[in-house]
Amino acid sequence: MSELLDVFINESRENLESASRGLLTIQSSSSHNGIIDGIFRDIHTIKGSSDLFDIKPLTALAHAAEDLLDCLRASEVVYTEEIGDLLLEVLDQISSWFDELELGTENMNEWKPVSVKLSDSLRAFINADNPKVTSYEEQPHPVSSSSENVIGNIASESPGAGPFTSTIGTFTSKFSSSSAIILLAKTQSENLYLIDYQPDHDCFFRGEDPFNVLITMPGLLGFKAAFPLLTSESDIYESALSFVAIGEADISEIDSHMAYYEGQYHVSHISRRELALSCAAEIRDAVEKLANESLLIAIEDGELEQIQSVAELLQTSGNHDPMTNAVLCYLAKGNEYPANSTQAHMQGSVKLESLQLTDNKHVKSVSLYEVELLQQQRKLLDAEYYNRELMLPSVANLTQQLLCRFAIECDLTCEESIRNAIDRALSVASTPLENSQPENDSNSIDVDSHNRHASSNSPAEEGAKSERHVVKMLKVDQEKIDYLMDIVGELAVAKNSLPYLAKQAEKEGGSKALSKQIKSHFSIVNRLTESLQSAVLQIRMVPVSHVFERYPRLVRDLARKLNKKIELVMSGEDTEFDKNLIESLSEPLIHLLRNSIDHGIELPDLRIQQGKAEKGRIDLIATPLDDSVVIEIRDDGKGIDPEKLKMLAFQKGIITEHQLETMNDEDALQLIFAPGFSTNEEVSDLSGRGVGMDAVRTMVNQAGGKIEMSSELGIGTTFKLLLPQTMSVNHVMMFEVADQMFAVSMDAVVETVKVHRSEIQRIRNQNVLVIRDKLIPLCELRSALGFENQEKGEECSILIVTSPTGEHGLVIDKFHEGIDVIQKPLEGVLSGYSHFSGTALLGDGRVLLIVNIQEILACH
Amino acid sequence: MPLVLKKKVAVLRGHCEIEDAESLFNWLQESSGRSLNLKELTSAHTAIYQVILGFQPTISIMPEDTSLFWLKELLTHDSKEVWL
Repeated sequence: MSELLDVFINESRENLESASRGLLTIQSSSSHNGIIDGIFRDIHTIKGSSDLFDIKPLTALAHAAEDLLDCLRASEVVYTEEIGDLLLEVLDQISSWFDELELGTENMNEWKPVSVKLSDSLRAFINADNPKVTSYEEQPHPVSSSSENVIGNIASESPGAGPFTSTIGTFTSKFSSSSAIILLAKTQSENLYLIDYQPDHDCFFRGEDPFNVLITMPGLLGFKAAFPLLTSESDIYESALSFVAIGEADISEIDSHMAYYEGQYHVSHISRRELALSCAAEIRDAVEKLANESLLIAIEDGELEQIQSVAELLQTSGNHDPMTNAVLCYLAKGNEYPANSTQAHMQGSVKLESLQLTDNKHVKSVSLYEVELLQQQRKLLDAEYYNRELMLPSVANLTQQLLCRFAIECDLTCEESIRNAIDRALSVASTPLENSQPENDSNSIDVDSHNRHASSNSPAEEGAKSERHVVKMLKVDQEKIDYLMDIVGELAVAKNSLPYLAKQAEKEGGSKALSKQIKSHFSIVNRLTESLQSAVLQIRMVPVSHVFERYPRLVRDLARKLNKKIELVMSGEDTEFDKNLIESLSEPLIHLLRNSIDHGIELPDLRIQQGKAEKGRIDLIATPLDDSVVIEIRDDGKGIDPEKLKMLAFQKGIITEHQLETMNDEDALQLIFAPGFSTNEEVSDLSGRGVGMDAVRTMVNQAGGKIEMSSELGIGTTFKLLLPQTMSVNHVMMFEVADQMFAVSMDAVVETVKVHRSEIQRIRNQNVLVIRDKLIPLCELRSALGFENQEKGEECSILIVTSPTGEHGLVIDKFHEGIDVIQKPLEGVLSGYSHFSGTALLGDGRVLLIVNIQEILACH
Repeated sequence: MPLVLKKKVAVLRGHCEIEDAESLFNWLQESSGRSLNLKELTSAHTAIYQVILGFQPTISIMPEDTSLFWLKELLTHDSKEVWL
């Protein structure tokens, strides 16, 4: 199955689900206006996308459903339970077709009658209320429309199904006039494809070999090549070829054959029967032109064998034009002479419709034409080929009824033979499909809804369905994934030891070649480990809706408790996130939501006074941004007053009097994150339990994220959480202090500089460095980490890092390389040391401590 | 050698790679009336076929290999249609 089809099916399944959810909602509640709109859009999407694939019956059915929904939407048709049930049936049908498409067992011939039948039932509702509605189903289409359509019409008493002839038009326009007949002579398969293959000009440079691609195409029957004549200026390494080819194989087979040449070809399905119908006139003309008496007699007698032998003889005996030759070849292969049966089909549809025989029986007289028509239909029913293929009891019944009426005009033997034929046809149609299917394979058409149900319930298909479900989802214990993650982490560590080994081989073994070999192996192992890692991380990703879906209830409950009216609008719920991260986020998010509900959104009366909508609105939005995810919580409440914040912070001793005067609004807002801060004077039982926003910030920071806040007084507050998408691998920069390895997160590193000690200045008891006119405070890591101060060398290595308080320089001993590590949290006695954010294992077995810059700087 | 360029005739044998396309094309252009002997040709890269079909030189001997039946058809029929 192609990737595109896969995507289409998955997306459409969601559309189907939401549509059927909508229908169920309508059935359980009275109002349905907005919901109909949603269902319409769902179906519209399915219809639109299905057009990309050669699944016309599905498109046609979706189109019919869309039309009905459109009328419902415009209130041209009144919604009834019946319509709802029918629409649900249509959704089920489309869903079961998706199953078939997924399994690759789809059979358009089986789909068509089902599609026509359901579409007609849908349209019946439209037409009953609104006779003027037209649709593409009812638009006039060429008389040479497919035979099954015509017969399908009689059976289901409906106007024609969708036009299926465009591909045939393409075929006949690209090939010579006799080609269609040559093709008919060549194959009996219904499963024909037409491919238009236009290799790119520069395809040779990609190693493509179009002619050989063409020649090896599955089931290739013929092709037409177009190539330019070369001149001295032609570039022979530029492909200027184009091909149209025809053959017998599944489209999917062709797609897989052409997998590497996507975008250079277009393949479509051709029905042999339709093709036969479209050439019927040409075959008749050619035979008439040939005017061979014995052939004409044979045709008149309807003796296939005789036609065959005469055609063979004629073929070898004379020089004919290509068209005649093709026709003779076609007849010599034992194909039926199409003239009369086609006439029968065409006239059948025209005459029967004009006489309205299909839905009433008040016919006064019948012309010789009709008698001939009926006789032809008898022939049709009699012929083994049609008998098996069509199985249309309705045709049989119709013919029987008519013939009984006009038995006087027919001879009695005719009546008897038609009875026999009808009985046979009916018995074939009524045998269970399981038995008849193997021999009918792709050709069976079952209009009878009973048969359809029988087939859809057949054990084989049910088995296939369950197989699909098994394949689709695999529930795995999270512990197993975590275990896998741990192993991958250790593998990453083990992998990191290879460069050490290479260094050692060079240093101690003195073998550069061995070192080189190890290094090249390292690159392979490195690549594999990385892809393994990302694969495992991918497994751990879950949509953010896992957490989000708890919130509507929470918001509703809290709002009721506080007598507020609040609407929670969530978007981006399908944004993916690491499972562990998402769970660690749940608490801070609840806290933020509570804050918004409790402190943000005003009481309804107050809101009305302020000219706002009575109902407050909280937006919860998740959006992916590169490797991270942004979660926004936005409310349209009263906002936060920076002056009030400053005042409170001053009262609580968080800021000095000087800061109170000079601090700008934006900085003041950030005070909310200061430890032990609650702005609401009364501490409610919802939020403001003293945990405060600093706890939220800590939790977010622990998850490796950042939190920002902006607020406008009277308009609302927005919290923005920027979080890494996975807890994956951390990229860290290693450095050495007192012969020990440490690391900082690479994100924090701004630059590394080496300066002469004399360049370091001392301002207000603080070492500083001026780089590019910027004053950077320095922090001696040796002392900060509790090492003894050693004698100082001439040069100083300084790692410049960013922190929330600005850029700082860490004075270290030696720089090392950047490395990917899986950071583990500190455990046991070490967990109390906030100087370090975690540890990681190095390739040579040493433990790497990862420094928590913020804490170090704060202590400093 | 899959491609042997003589005075008047170029002989293509076995499988001809894309690299031969340029020398074949240049050789064909050098003087008129040169022809190709495809008797022992079994397969070739599309670029070679493109030269043979696009330059339309005289073919002294058609390929014997039945799998190249289509090439013969393309060279002899104006319709450029091949039925297998």
